[in-house]
Amino acid sequence: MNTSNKLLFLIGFAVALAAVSIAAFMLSRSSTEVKTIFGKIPRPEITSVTRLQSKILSIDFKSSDEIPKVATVYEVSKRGMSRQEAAKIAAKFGLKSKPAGKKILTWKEKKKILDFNLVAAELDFKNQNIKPLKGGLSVKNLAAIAKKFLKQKGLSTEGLIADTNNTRLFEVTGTTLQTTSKPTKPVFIEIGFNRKLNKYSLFYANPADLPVSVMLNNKGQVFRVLYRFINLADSKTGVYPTTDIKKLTTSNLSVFGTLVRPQEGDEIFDASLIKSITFEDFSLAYLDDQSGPYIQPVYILRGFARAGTEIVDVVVYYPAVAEEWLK
Amino acid sequence: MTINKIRKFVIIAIGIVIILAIILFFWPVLTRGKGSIVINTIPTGVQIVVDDKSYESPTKIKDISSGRHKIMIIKKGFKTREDDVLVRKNETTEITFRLYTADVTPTGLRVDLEVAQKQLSGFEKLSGFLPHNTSNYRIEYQMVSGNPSVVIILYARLNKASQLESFKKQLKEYSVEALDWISLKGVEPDNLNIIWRPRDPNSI
Repeated sequence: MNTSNKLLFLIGFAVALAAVSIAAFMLSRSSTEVKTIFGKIPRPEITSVTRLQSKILSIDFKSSDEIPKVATVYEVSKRGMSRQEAAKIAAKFGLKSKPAGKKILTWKEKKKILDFNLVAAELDFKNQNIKPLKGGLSVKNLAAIAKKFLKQKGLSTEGLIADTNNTRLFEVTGTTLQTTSKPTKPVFIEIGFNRKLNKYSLFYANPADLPVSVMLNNKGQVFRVLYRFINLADSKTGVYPTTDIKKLTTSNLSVFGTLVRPQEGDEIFDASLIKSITFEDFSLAYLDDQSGPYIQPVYILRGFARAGTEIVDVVVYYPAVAEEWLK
Repeated sequence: MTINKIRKFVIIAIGIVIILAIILFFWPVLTRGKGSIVINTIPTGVQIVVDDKSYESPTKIKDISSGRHKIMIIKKGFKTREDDVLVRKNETTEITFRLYTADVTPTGLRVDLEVAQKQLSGFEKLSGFLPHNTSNYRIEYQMVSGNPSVVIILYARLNKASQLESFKKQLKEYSVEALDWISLKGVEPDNLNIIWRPRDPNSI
């Protein structure tokens, strides 16, 4: 290599290095760039069974998770569904008759039932022609079949991830379905789906509510589908600074935190009996309160509560958007 | 005072200070006794590393030097937890660690809730029959580190080394008897937080 070639090579190398550095800088900048385009946003609206102010709270986080300094806030393009939209989806399930009801439309045809809640934008489909079966189950295959079924019915599967580790088995007793861990009768398997937004899970007011679940027998015949719709205005997302959860104080927690477990109807524990709560873990997630105009990031705080000699698991939602950007 | 005497005095003083410093430095080691530590975890069956030695929870570690010990709790799918535990001389320190799933999802939280519900209904069904005594075992309800637990005490005997094999056999037999009794009461043992004493026969 002569001197001029060496020089050219060095210049080329320097230019490439500079380009990579600039790209890395721009990328890092764009991932932390704040875009508070919605201005101050309302806090999540969740009804809690009990107020945290009445409890003795302590924070002893064991989690070392790194939380991003900013997080995306999604605008919901619309809440609820129209009759026409519901009818279109019902047709995909083979239901074309006139539905009964106003806010909840019900189709019933040939042992197929579809309840469509127009306000909450949720559907519950049952095909009573499908029977539970005995025999081995290939959970991964069934999860793939469930997802394919959703797609065939025109239901979006974007961001949906089947949880094949936490499936449930159901036995049919009379007209009711009962969960079982050691089945003695034919069963349906329920595949639960989590919805990810920007790699974080989406939660509802009750943290055990799923966005989608599909129940099927071991031949892959779908018996039931529960589906919650989400309508995001894709083009309009804000990027908001997050609260530093590691600096959370018990006084802020007691005012702005919402206890969501135990829940009313959990039949596990009366939340009013709880005297003290210790929080040991935090994680970032998204919350759809199914009423407000935004889907916003929240911290899922996990810990345990004491009430006399009893101990119970506790989950609290705490807004992740920095305090100055909340109404 | 002559210069020599002063020099001698300074050397002796420095010597005493050095000896004192050494004694103070090694004081915790010189006075260290031994204690025991009982480690429970929620969930159970978790790998516990104490001072680079591995155990499975729940576990009791006897004759461990008093003082602070580093504990690491590891289970696949859960956040790894590290803590310091203080073991006191001639005392048994009992501690319960709760593990949290690494990925927080509605499906995961729902399963946690169902496990808790099953545990609670199991305790409620059994509570009317406890304590239960036989010549081979005793089953009782106890709060262990603040957690409602069913403690199964197995009356297997081990007085000398030659009895070890029969001791292990007894533990297994008695544990099966105890679990059968729980099942007969309509409670699934898997849904209970069971503490074995002297130890979990399945870990032998």
